[in-house]
Amino acid sequence: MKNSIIYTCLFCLLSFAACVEEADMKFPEADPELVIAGFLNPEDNQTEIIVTSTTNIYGSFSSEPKYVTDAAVYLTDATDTVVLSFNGHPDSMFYYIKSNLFPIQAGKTYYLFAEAPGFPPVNASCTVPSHTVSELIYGLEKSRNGNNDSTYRISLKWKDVAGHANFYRTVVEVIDTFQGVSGLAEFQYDVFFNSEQYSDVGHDGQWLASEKGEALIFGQNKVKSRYLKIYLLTTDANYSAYHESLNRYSGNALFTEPSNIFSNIKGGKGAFGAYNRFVYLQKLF
Amino acid sequence: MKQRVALILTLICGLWNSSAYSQCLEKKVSLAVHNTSIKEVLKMLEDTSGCNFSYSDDIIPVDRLISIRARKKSVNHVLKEVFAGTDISFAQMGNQVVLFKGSKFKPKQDQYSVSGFVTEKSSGEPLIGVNIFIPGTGSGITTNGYGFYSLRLNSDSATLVFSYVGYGTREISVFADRDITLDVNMTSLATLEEVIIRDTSSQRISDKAEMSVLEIPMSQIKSIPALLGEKDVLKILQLLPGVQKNNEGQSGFYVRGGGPDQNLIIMDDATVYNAYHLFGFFSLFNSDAIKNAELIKGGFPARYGGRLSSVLDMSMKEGNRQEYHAEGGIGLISARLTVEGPIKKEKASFLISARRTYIDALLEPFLEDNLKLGYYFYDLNAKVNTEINEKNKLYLSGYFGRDRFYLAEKYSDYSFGAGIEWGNATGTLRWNHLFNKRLFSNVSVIFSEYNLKIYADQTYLDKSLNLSFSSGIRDVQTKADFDYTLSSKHKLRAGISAIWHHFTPSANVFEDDYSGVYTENKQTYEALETGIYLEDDIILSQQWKVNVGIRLSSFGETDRLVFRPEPRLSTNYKLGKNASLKASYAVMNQYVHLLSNTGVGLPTDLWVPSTAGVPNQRSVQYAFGPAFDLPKSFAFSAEGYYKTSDNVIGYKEGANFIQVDDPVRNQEVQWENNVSSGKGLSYGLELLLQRKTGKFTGWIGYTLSKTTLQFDDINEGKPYYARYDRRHDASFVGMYNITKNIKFSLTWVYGTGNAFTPPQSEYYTFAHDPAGQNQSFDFFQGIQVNGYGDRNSERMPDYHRMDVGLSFFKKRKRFERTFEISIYNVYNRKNPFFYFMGYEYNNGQEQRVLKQITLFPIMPSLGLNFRF
Repeated sequence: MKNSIIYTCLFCLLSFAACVEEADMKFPEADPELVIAGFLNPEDNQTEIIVTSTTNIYGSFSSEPKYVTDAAVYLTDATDTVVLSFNGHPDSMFYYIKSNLFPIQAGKTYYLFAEAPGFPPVNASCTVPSHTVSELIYGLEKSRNGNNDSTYRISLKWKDVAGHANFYRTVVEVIDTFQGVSGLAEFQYDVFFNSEQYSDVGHDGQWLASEKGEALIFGQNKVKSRYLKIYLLTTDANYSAYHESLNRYSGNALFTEPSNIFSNIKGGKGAFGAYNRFVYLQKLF
Repeated sequence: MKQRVALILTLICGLWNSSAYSQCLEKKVSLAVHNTSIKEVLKMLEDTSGCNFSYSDDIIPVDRLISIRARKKSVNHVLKEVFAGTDISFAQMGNQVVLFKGSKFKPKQDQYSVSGFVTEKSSGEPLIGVNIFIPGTGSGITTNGYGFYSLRLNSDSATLVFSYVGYGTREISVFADRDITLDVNMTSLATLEEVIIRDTSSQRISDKAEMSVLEIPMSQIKSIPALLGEKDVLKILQLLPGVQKNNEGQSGFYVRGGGPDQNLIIMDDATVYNAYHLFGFFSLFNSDAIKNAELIKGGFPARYGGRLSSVLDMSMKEGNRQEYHAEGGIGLISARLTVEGPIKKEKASFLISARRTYIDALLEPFLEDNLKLGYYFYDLNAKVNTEINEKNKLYLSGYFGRDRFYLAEKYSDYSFGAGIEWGNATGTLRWNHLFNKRLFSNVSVIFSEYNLKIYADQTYLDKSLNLSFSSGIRDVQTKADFDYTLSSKHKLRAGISAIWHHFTPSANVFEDDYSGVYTENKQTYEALETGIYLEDDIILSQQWKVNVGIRLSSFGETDRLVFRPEPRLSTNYKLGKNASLKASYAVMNQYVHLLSNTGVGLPTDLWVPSTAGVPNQRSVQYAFGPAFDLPKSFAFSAEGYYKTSDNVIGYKEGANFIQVDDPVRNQEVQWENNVSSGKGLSYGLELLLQRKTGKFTGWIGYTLSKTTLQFDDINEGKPYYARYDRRHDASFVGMYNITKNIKFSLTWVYGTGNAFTPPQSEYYTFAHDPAGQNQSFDFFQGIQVNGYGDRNSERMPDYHRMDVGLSFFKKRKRFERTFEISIYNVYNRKNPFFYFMGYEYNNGQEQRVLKQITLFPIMPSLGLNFRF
């Protein structure tokens, strides 16, 4: 009797473990679509558009992007229309056009069309912001621990350009230069901000402030000089929404409500946006 | 007291036909007695005439011996002879002949009240929700949360029927020439051995004014088979129509399309903010300590407010006032013990109840010496009460419970510890005061707190890294409630309450000896929530009852104060003796939000206040339906409901509140940026056929419902099904007493599968890198992401499961024990808990497949409960 109770208890305890197995069903799959990534900037010497495609959710798995190499990609500003060339380098496949052939201009609206065999055609549009930030202030706090490592905490303030619905993105780097084996070398530290996207909603024309970003800089004796490099982008709404949704994306995380990455590509996925760039470089020592 | 009680004559009698009493004083009787007591003579007169005499032994000289001889004389004549030479007079009052002192008895209509407390006979426990009514008049009432009732009489005499599920019905005839006190005790059917229950009048559903109220006797909760043998009041509620379960095996529940945050769970007036143990698989309510549980899912009386979808009102037992008792049980994962007894017999009592799991103790022998790993939870309920005097009673009750997961490693130069702890604490001090027979008051001071702590500590040699994150909510509340019996047609309730909320969404401490960094950060909010209400139970006619009320609620935080009126109405119109039509209307406001996009009752769920950016939630609910009392104690009800909600909160796409703050970087994530306000629409039909008493008890429930949500920034603004939208939901619960000591129980549940959003495609997406060194590297090779269709556009397979249980009861003179065997998911249905995309190798090729997690296959369990 005692044994049977023990066996029963053991059976109960073991059966408590959750069972994971292949489901005997499948949920519907979507038809393949083109995926576009393109962000226009008047300062770039060429415009690049990456075209990939969605893949089936079930079956063979690949960890590589599925580039679409036989697409026809068109850009137009409603006056001129150009066909982009394909760069087939295995490390960076994209469609491009030189800026001297098709310059990107601030304040202008651009339209993108793309089609490829086996996929529905896609189109999208974006407007390049007409202005950029001209006033920027940064704050820097520095602390050092016993290992000679330093923590940099950096915050930014900038003046919003009044009269426009503006979106901004902040990216900051700390760059160390040191003497390498074959000459002067650089090492870049990303300053980590919880969110890089900001908007001027409710603060038109006012000073806007970023949250505090942080970077841990390892103590090294060989550092010759250190720079702070600030990129402040004035973006369109598509650029901002796309990168914000990438930041929020939590994938298949247990219990998290799944969500699509923002897309303004009609008939497909991805984003087509634009930005102006303001760059500030400050030597710290 | 004795004098007043002396005016009451109690006669336990069967139901009678009132016509039998008409003109009974004129009935002719023949009688011949010699030296016989008046009491015996009256008895003979009752037997021969059919008259029913109402009198008090203290007033009538019942022992006096008389001799009478009467042949074919009227009862009127005989009584005059019996009381010749005394100042005793008599008069026919309704169904009975009342004997009284003096000659000027002028009955007055609607003047006197009968009031008192209803208690259980063996323990002295006040009984909540006892139905008290006067047959044939439409007049009736239920005892309040303290067992008190007050009923105005239409006439100076009446028969009061006291009925309560699981207790023998009592009928008491009263005669009153002033306001009187009538304390009544009732006997549990469980203690009435050898009695076959024929309880035909208990809790008639067609007589009740309120609708959408579910009550389950605790005895039934203890009889229904449960996962791992752990009886759980919240899981039993999930078996009732209109209440949807959460995920497999979990205690969280959804009422009429509302989220789990929209349920107000209160125990002895204290709000319980996180009602779950073990990540939602068990509730924190120990069934041994709970006396009463009532779920209101619509037609809310004005005394309740603060949540949109339901109120689960639970009361702890008071403690036995007559004698000491202990009860407890041993199950597969926990043991529990409750001790109760009188502090001063019939005046004061106490109850202490504790429960603890022992998974950690079972695990420990299998672990290495330098490793500690485990989980446990425990509960402690305690209560004392005292009757200071006839008019004043004091109650002090509290709950304290915690869950703890822990991991610790220790070596000579290195140690590491991490864990997560969470728990609730509540305390309630209540003062009942009886101003007079018609006015009852309760004043409470209530404390409630929920907190969570996550910690990790690492030490290497003499340096350490310590990290902790905590969050919580603390309430201090005071409230006063008044019950006033204005007349036989009106019973008023009024009250006022104020809750001071102190929210701590996050408090982080980071201490690093290695980097020398020490940071401390704490977010707090404070708010004051108030409510004032007035409600009236009105008897418009013998057929028509109404409960009408208004609640004015307010919420104030730093620089914002909002007032919201909340009208309430519920009505019952009788259609014949056994049927009625009911309807209700209720407006509700909710000023606190629960941040949880997991929906599984995790301890990381955060309570936060409504703000200008995320305003309070509001709902309007209409319900309508008939109720029938059927033969053999069956009752059937059907209710249709339609509920709209505004400003319900949803979580912006991709938001995950488990990561609501990053304690390592010590950066705040503004919760307001993660949530979105939208609209909800829910409607449905609920059917319930139940039998609460008899050898076979149980119910069949069915719900047909639809719940949709719409948010401007979720699902592209298109409406979508709520995750817990369930088109069909059915349950069968049956308990059968095979013999006096053996009970069989069976439950079967069925529900449409949860709505969810499976991935439909996969792709790489690329982020722009503004710091790219040249054009060719201007893009990061992005992350691999999933493409989804519309939110919640697919359904998991239907859910169904059967559980069975068998209990063997044995009673000795001073000891009772129940041995239970139960099987959860008896036919081993593999209900999905969660789906995810997994990988499998097939001929050397990695394949993506859909995987399913099933939590609970067939699970037998054993349990032993005892009481002495």
